[in-house]
Amino acid sequence: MTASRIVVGVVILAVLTAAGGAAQVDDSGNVTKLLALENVWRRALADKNLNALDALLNRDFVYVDPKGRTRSKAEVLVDVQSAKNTKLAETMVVRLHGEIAVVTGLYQEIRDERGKALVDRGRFVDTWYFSAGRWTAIASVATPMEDPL
Amino acid sequence: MTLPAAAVLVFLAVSASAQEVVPRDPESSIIDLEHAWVDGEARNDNNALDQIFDNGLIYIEYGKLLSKAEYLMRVRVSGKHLPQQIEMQGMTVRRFGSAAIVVGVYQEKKVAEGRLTLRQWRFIDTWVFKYGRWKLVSAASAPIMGASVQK
Repeated sequence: MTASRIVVGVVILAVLTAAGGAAQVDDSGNVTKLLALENVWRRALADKNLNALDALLNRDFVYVDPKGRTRSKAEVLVDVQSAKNTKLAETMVVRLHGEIAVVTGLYQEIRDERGKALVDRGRFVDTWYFSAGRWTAIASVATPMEDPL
Repeated sequence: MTLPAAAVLVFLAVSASAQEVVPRDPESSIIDLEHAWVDGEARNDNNALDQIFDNGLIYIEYGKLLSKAEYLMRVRVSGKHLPQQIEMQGMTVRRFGSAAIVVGVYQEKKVAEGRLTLRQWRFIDTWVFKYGRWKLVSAASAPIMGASVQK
């Protein structure tokens, strides 16, 4: 094998290695997977399934609710147990940034106020992190649709 | 230099470029960028903001979703007569691989119809290390209830 063929072979190998390294998270199917995880999350909240939530939420997960309060993963798991509201999500869009995914969507929260059903609407942003072969949620912000002032 | 040696160098260079080498201590860099964002907006410096924002940025405030282009247009249109001033009031940075989450509070000072409004917001910003620099990919905030003052 001539030296020039060795060089060409090494360059091709290098490019393939670079391509494989850059594509650490295969985009194909990740959008579908993340949308499914979002639905699993909503279902787990409705069912108060703490095991499912524990698996979905990263240990360092942080949530900012529509009133600007922060909740840690442990606090969210406690809140869920006494929550009476129903949360729905729609119009979700996934944006991938390598090992990070940002999911935006619209939410409706139906709450009971003295026997009357009230609906709060807003937009949410969920941030997911791909590590050890799976996606976990690392952050979530729920912003109200209207200015309360 | 022989051809095989040159080939090895090419191999190493191309392989290395595929892996983003994230700085070991990104917290101070990201906090600096958060402040640079506020400064850039106050100065109506779209070039500075363009460098900070990822092209796929999504920005959410009061349920409204803005793309990078829409956000920069808003700054451009506001010009030097920005109706609000932003003051950062503490933030923490959490690292996740080549990404970081910033959780913090900022105070917005706004003048409208002769009335001054001070409002606090809690935000989460997501930064990703891409092409050798930190880029903001998402920003969302919610008003802190009971923390607004009108004068």
